Parts: sequence; C-alpha cells; structure tokens
Amino acid sequence: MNKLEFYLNNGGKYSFIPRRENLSKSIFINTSTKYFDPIRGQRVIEDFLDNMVLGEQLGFDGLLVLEQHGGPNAVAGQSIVMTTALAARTKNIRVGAVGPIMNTYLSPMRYAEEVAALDYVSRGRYFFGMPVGIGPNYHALGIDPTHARERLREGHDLMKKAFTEEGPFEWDGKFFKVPYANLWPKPLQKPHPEIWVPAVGSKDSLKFAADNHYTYLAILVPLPILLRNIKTFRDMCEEAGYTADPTQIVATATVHVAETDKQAQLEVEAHFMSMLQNSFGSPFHDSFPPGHVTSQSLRGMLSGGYRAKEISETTFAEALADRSIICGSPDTVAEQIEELTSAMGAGRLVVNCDGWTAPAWLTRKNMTIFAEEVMPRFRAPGGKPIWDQSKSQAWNTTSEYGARVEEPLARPTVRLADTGVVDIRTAHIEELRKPLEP
Amino acid sequence: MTGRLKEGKVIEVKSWAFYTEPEKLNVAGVDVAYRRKGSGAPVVYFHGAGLTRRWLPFYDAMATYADVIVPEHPGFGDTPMPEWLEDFDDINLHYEQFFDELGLDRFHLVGHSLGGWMAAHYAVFFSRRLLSLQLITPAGLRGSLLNDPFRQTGEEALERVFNGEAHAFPEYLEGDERVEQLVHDYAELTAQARLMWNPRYDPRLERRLARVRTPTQVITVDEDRIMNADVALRYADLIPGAETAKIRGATRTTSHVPYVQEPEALASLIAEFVNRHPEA
Repeated sequence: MNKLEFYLNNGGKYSFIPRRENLSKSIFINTSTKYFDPIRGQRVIEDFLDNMVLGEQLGFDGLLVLEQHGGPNAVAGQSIVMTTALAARTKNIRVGAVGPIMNTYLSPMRYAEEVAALDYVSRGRYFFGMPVGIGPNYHALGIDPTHARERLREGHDLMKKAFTEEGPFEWDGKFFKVPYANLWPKPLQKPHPEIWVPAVGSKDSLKFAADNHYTYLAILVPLPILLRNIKTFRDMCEEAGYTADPTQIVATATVHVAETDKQAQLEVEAHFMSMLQNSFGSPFHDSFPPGHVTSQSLRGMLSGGYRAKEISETTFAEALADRSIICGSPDTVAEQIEELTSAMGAGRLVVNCDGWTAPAWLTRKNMTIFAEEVMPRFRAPGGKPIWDQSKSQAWNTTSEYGARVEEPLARPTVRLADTGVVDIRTAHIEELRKPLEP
Repeated sequence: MTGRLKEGKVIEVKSWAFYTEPEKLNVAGVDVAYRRKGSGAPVVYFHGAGLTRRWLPFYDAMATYADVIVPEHPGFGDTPMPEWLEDFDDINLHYEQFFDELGLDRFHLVGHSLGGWMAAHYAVFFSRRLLSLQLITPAGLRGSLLNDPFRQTGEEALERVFNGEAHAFPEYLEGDERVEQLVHDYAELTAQARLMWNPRYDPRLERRLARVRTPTQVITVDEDRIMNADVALRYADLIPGAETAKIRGATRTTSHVPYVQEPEALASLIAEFVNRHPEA
C-alpha cells in the first residue's frame, strides 16, 4: 500500500428541502430560506463540528472545511468560522479552510489577517485554500466573474507579500490599492501556512499551483481526465525546476465503509444519491457565469461532451463503477483507495464521510471503521497520524489502535435461539449472522 | 463553420445567413469590425447583445435611406475584447475615437437594447455630435430587465427574444459550428457582464439624461419579454422633448427584436425621424 495522509471533510448539508426537480433553477441560488428551520440548522452545524472534532480522536491527519454560500449545501460552509471552532476544540490535528473565496473580500489584507490569526489560534496547525469559488457564488453574492481569476491572483500576490516581507509597504495593483499594507500578526508558520489550490483541471490553476510549489487538491473528475490533469501538473512542476512531492497531490473521495459491501451500499445509497440529485447539477449559466472560465477551458469542456449525461441521472451502480463513491467493506474500500491514489501518485486523500446528509451516528460508524480498519493500511507500522509524535505505550487514536491490535485469543460470541453461536460483533448484519458452532 | 486542415491551419468558413466580411478600423490598437452601406445622412447603429457578425436585412433596409454604419462593440462580433474595457466610459471614449478615425463629424445615432443604453450614455456626454438619437427597446434604467440576462438558458432566451416564434425565423438562428458558437456567445456575454454585471443598470443615468440635447425618439414594440416597456418609455420622460413611437407587427406581434419581424417598417420609421432632423 502507498503511504497516505487522511483529511476529513464532511459536508454538513441541510437536507430538509424539496427534491431538486421541485425547486426552481438552482439549489445553490434559489432554495428559499423558508425551508430553513433553526432548530434543525443547529443540529446540522453541531453534528458537523462534533464529528469533525472526533476526527482527531480517530487519528485523521487533518480536518478540511470547504466553503459555499447562499444555499442548503452551505450551512456549515463559512469556512473561516467553522475552522476556528475546530481549531479551538482540537489540540494536535491539522485544520484547514479551503476557502474563503478571496473575491468576496474587499481587501485581501483582511483575509491575510484572518489566515495569520487562525495560524495562532491553531498553534501552527493551519493550512488554507485559494479557490476561485464556484459559479453560483458569483451569481448569489454579486461578485464580478469577469475578473475572477485575475483579481484572485493579484489578491494572492498581495497576501504572499504581506506574509513574507516586512511592512508597511504600499500595494498599487489593478484591483487593490493599499497605502499601508502592514500585516499584524504575521503568520506563525514560515513563510506562511501551507496553501492548497483546489482545481478541476484548468491549466491556469494547475500552473499557479505548480509555479508556487502549492498543493494541488484534485477535484474529482472522470479518472482518465484526472490522470491527464495530474500529468500536466507534474510536467509543470518539472518545468518549474522541481519534482512534485506526493504530498503535493491530494485525491478526494466520498467514502463509506461498513461490515460488508452490501451493508455499506445499503447505508449510503440514499445519501449519496441525494447528493447527486439534490446538491449538484446547476444549469450551465449558473455554473459558468460570464468570464468565470476561459474560452480555452470552455472549448475543452464543450468538445469533451460537457455533461453528456446530467449528473442527477447517474445511477448508484454507475457511481460505484466509476468510483464517484468508494463504498464497501474495509477490504473493498482499501483496495479502491489504493487503486485511485496510486494511479494518481497522490500522497494525501481528502475523505468525505457523511455523504453530506448521513445522520451523525451513521457518519461516526463510517469514520470509526475507516480509521480503525482502513487508514492503518496506508501508514507506517503503528498507524499514528502525522501529528502524533508521542512515545507513550498507550495508543492515542483509533487508527493507532487499529494498527496495533492483534487477533484476540477468544472471539466474543453468544448463543442465539434461532441461529446458534454467533460473533456478537457482526450479528446485526443479516448475512454475517451465521452459526460459528452447532 | 470553422474548418481545421490536417496541417493544423485553420480556415474560416463563415457560412451562416447574413454573414458578410466586416471592414476593420484600427482604433488605438483595437481592430474594430464594422459594416457600412448606403448613402445619404450618416446613421450609426449600436447593436444589442446577440446577432453580431452579420449584415441583417434590417440594416439593408436602412441603407436604402442612409449611410448606415454598424460597428461591433469591443468584445462583440469580430471586435476583440480589449484588456482595458471596464465600463460605459470606456465605450464612450472608444467610440468617440472611432468616429474621429472614420471622419464622422456629426451623425444620427440609433441603438437597440444594450446598444440603446450605450447610445443614451454616449448622448449624455457627446450630444453636440449627434443630429438625432433613437433608442429601440433600450436597457439601462432601474427595472428595465424583466429577466436576469445572465441566468437564462438558450431556450429561454429564444423564447423571450422571439416571443415564442423563433421557429418562424430560422435564418436568424444560424451560426457557427456548435462549440465555436457557444464559445463565441460566452465571450460576448462576458463583455456584456463586464459592462453590466453589477449593477445591471446605471443608477446615474436617470439624472444625467436631462443633459441630452439631441432630438430623441424612443421606440417600443407590441410585446417585449426582455425589457419592461414602461421603463423604456422613462427615457422619453427623462430626455427633454423626446418623442415615442411603437413599431407594430403586420402579421406577427413585434418582440424585443422588431427588426426581425418588421425590418422595412422599422427602417422606414427610423429614416423618417432622421429626415426630420437634417444637419443644419
């Protein structure tokens, strides 16, 4: 097995909305707030935070929060706020916001201050993303999409200078004029917290990441395209004079693991299908507001048969087959993760464990089995996450427990009237409720 | 259609209806594509969004009365999107120089929809140069837009532009090969968004229109599903002495693009107003 770092990224979606076909145009933009019930909303946000915090105890390497706006996909999508809460409630695990969308800020200095402050609040555990932001956010928030990339790049340049050079200095750019750029506090990590660049595959984004030695967060697209993007990224790193480190390439997956393949599918099917049917699938004009993509990217998408099939029409069988979801027993899941990440040469995996709408208890089950039985296979003996340097004899995380625990001398069993003697750990799964002895 | 030869050389075969090769005029580094035909009083026409890269029957009809000049705006048709384009001020100065380079001193200005907004904005600053101003279903004022122009599908746009009768005008639906046409449309929409993403009207125009000192006519249609006709008529309230006219359909109701349903009648209406305001 290749070595991987695991970053937990749950969705925290508010699911009490009509099905997409009963909503107007876009779930991101048009879902009325009348469907939002604060009692349920509190539950979504608290479950989201609690399960992310649990990620540390289970032994994930990091927690990653995405950012969305203006819709039910985004209840836990205020990435800076949520990440601050996570930083405050954890001790050692890395925490990162892939967000905010820089273009939502009037001044990048404000964003730079938040990054630096979070670096202290987390005691140097912070990393962050520089996303362009998806099209619907530009519609919903009224941000100009025609300058999206150019303005983001300039904002980045200003932030980087503020992180790495002494202030005050004057910034006199096209989009930003800052008479006295003077970043207090400067970040704790030098030169600055690690930057991740989420990219679907635009050459522009890949080159930006490669040239700056940033981490490429590969948004899941069909595998052949994904592998082509990775190759492009590696080539660009070589052109920039270095070889990409595996940790610089991050794979993403929605994962659900249970006792058996069948049980895992049964548990996640409705949630994953709801993600496909009721979360994604904006019309073209919402996904790609004018200028949000380059002509070159657009031509590529259109020629490649952009949405040959509407995403909401994908069947669960197709999603399983093309690995849109990685789902099954620990063996199946480990095998598919190995296959995906080794094809990509990825050293990190971002794992969504709640399918965006699974209840907290089911998510915890998934996360726990994943940490105990899948993650250790991709780690050095001992199963410790990157942040655990302890030499203690006690195990600290579930993944470490999973790595160190051996087959017990005796299995825990019980005699059930109709079945006979069964293993109590798996007796709740019909096909595993088999007699061990007459 | 854009053909691609094996050697990698691209040959342009633009074969859609009404396509004609544009003339080019270099204006401060931008190759402005424009088409010109006819003789008599110079009439400049500012096109709206869409139906660029062609010489429409309506232009031909106008050209029987006047010297018709139809430039393509920066970022539209075959005029490239200049890096400096930010707002309507840039459009104004661009056209001011274009008219200088063309040797047009005074002229009549007609604008449709987005082009109507541009024409009105131009008149606010340069009305001394205009002999007359005509705005056909113009955009630009608060409440003008009945729909979000940046959130409509192709089908929705067709329905609204042609009032559900697009099928009756197949020549107007022709264009480049599918992907290239979509890429081109997206580029034009981007130029449009650069000018009017937020806000989608000019809040200063209401007050500024009082500065227009040009004989003005506002033209509305039978049924406009793109622009609010009442708001379009506000132009006539705000521009001193402005007149209004309605272009009615003979067999079909006129829509947001009356030049499609009634090219001759609209050309004649425009020419009549032009002729009433000759150069002194």
